[in-house]
Amino acid sequence: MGGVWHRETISWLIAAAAFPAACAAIGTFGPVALWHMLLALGVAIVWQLIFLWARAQPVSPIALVTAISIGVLAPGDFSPWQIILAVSFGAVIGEQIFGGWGRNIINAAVASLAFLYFAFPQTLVAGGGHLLALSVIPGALLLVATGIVSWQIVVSAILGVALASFALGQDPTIIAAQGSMVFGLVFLVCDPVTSSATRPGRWVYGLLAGGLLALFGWTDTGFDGPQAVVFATLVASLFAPLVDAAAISVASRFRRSRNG
Amino acid sequence: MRIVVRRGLSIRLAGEPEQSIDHHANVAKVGSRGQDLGPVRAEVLVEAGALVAAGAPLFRDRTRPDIVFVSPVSGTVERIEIGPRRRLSEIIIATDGSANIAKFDSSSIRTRDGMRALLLAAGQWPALRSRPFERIADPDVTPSAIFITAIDTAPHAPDPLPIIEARRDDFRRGVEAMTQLVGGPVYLCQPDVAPLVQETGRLKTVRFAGLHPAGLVGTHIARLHRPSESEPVWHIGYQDVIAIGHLLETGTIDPFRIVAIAGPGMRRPRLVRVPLGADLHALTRPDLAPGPKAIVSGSVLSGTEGRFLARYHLQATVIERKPRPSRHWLIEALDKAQMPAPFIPTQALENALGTDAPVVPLLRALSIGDAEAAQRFGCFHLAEDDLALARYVTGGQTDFGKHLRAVLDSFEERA
Amino acid sequence: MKAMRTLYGPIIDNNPVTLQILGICSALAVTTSLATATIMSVALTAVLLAGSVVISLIRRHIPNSIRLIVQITIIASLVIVTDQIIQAYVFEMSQRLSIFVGLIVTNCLVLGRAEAFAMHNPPGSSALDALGNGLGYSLILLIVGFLRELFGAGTLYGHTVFVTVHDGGWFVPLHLMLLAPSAFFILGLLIWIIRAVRPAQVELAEFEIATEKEGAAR
Repeated sequence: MGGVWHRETISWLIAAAAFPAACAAIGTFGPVALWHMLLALGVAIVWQLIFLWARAQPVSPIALVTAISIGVLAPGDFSPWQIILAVSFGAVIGEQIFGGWGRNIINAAVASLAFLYFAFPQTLVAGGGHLLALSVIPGALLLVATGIVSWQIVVSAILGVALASFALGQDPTIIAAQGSMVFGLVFLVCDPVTSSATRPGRWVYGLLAGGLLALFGWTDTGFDGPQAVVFATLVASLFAPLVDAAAISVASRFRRSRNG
Repeated sequence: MRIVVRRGLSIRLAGEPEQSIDHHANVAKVGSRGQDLGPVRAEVLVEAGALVAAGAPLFRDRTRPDIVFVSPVSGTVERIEIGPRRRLSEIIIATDGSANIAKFDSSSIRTRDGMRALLLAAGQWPALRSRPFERIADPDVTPSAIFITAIDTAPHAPDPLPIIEARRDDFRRGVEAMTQLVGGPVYLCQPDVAPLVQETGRLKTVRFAGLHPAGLVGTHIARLHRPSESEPVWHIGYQDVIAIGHLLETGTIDPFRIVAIAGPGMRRPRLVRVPLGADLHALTRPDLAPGPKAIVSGSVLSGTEGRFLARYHLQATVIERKPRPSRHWLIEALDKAQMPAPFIPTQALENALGTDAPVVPLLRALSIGDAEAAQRFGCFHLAEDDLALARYVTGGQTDFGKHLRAVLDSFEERA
Repeated sequence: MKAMRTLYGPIIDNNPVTLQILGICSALAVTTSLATATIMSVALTAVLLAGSVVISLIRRHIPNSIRLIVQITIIASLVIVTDQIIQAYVFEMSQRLSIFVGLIVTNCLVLGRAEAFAMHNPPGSSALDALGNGLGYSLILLIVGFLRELFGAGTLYGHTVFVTVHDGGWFVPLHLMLLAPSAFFILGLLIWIIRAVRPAQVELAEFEIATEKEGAAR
């Protein structure tokens, strides 16, 4: 008896929000996206069960969200064992060894995708177009309205993208039309567990993630594929605890000086 | 001073009580709980079968013998329940309706020591609680401030304003008594209406507006006067202040409180005037809706299930008791063996603590028992009540109150 | 007996790389192929052995205030000699190892054993300790090098084991294995496996996840 923000409820809600994007991805990329999603789902669930048995860690439907993210952001020509290896790496090293979803530092999907892009750089990954970008919007609105995703990160990330793009002399609106960028922004950057936990920290984290997204995209990976948003999320979520610690120490120093 | 608490949550619960007071509630039994004394062992001063007057001492703190709990009513001690580890569980008294009331000498109250002696002797001292650590206040310590909580935002709590209005003189007298106990400020925390008393030099009225937990004393303390281990603050509820005012005027205790009995399980949720420790089961039995119910002393957020009204609670909530679904034995075993699931930061959780402390880092530190980190984020002004809303928001999955208590205990042991 | 324990202790139970986490940078850098890993292992073991014996021989004559400088001088000289030998006899290997042979001087493993053991023990035991630590370090380097070369290029010591798709075969090399992070992952998994088999090596957790029962018990 109580409020609704149980860990399982939240994961089902995020999965529901990602569902339209999953359909759009299957529509854009074809059945390969669906096979990748199902394979990733199977691998993630197997690892969750293994850790349930070995370390008594509760399982979670967040495997659905991880699977959808893999399907949307890695629709390339990967062979099954490559997907299995990458998702095993991401699920185990990214999530399970820390204690399951809720205790991890980086998103399991981000870890898997980074592994895929680094290990098999010759496989081309497509980015997804307007349809994918539009399909993310209803899910994003649902998540912001229910408070699972904090709007401060969304706003500051968009701001960071815009500022970094202008600093590099580029037009940021191209990024908004890129489906995988928008999907990554809502479901990877704004992940409630791995993003910053303090209120001022969220603004800094969002600016950092958005800025890195623009920087990686314009100078290195380009926006044809989703690499920019995955790497930006990886770096930003590693810095999120540092940003939090800085915000807390600044706030406590301010409070101490105010209280005398 | 007016403080708007912007972060807060509204809790929708059926069974809102009507604000008219039922003065004819008959209470046959009252119970004084040993756990209201905190972790200290209680020394029982009466025997089963003894006749007690209202105001006669029942049990006292073994380490500080001047702190006594007195009987709220006159009657016979029916039973003394001893719980695990031979601690006092409760003393149950059967009322006999006689007007056998103890009288106390309320003459020498001009001095701080005199006031203190009177409150201790009349068993009214347990009304004062101290933070950090949320224990009964130590009479030998002078706090740096006293908070009078005259606002209650818990779901289905009684409205303090008509209650205070009906006993305005007693309330004023009690507030003045509080200013005598301390050399520092006395904060009267009230709803967002005209000030209830005249502000003097040290007595300040602070109006609070906002949703729960704007009415919790932890929120007030965080905004106005943060305590530390060396400088504690004390707090007391408005109905206890009224009782103290009554004591000063008449020399007898006022054991009655206006309590809200409400919740979705009650057919006629209402306010009743009952003595402390009233038997909730008997009070609610005539009005229960059909179906299995749980009778909780306190609000739906922070209450505990029990037969008698706890010392500091001003309401009782009756909720549906959900039957446990029978599940497969393997799933049940896996469930029981699991590590506690972590909580997920959401905006609702961010708004569940009334202070401006960093919410998620504090809750994470409490979840692993990291006392140093919790102190750095600011946990000394908190008690279990303040974290009850956070527990409610996560669906009861993580009991932050218990974790906070473990952390505070580790500090107390060190001190 | 004690001598044998000095020798085989550092191989698993007190491994300098997986337990004390020393000498990691060379473990990451030179293990892209087994050949370079082997040369590095031999070089480090030789330097460790010779350095420990020499320092142990003169340990009673080193003034305390300059002992670190003397130790580094001895180790640096030995490293220069080793480097020259490698350049003379296996020149292509020396090119691939580039600066990492020279960096044996800074390897905390070498200085650590000199300071912790050779300064306080006779030459015989110092030699055994150095040999043991060298073998432990070599074991880890060879394991990591084996995995990285096999899955990163399909070869072992340059001989093809898995035929890559580039050469018309079936094996898709894992490009990640040729990058430094893979060595970190392999090392991490190795440490995990060793600590699963030898739970005595696991450090105590600073905090445990608080369970419901702890709050109630007092």
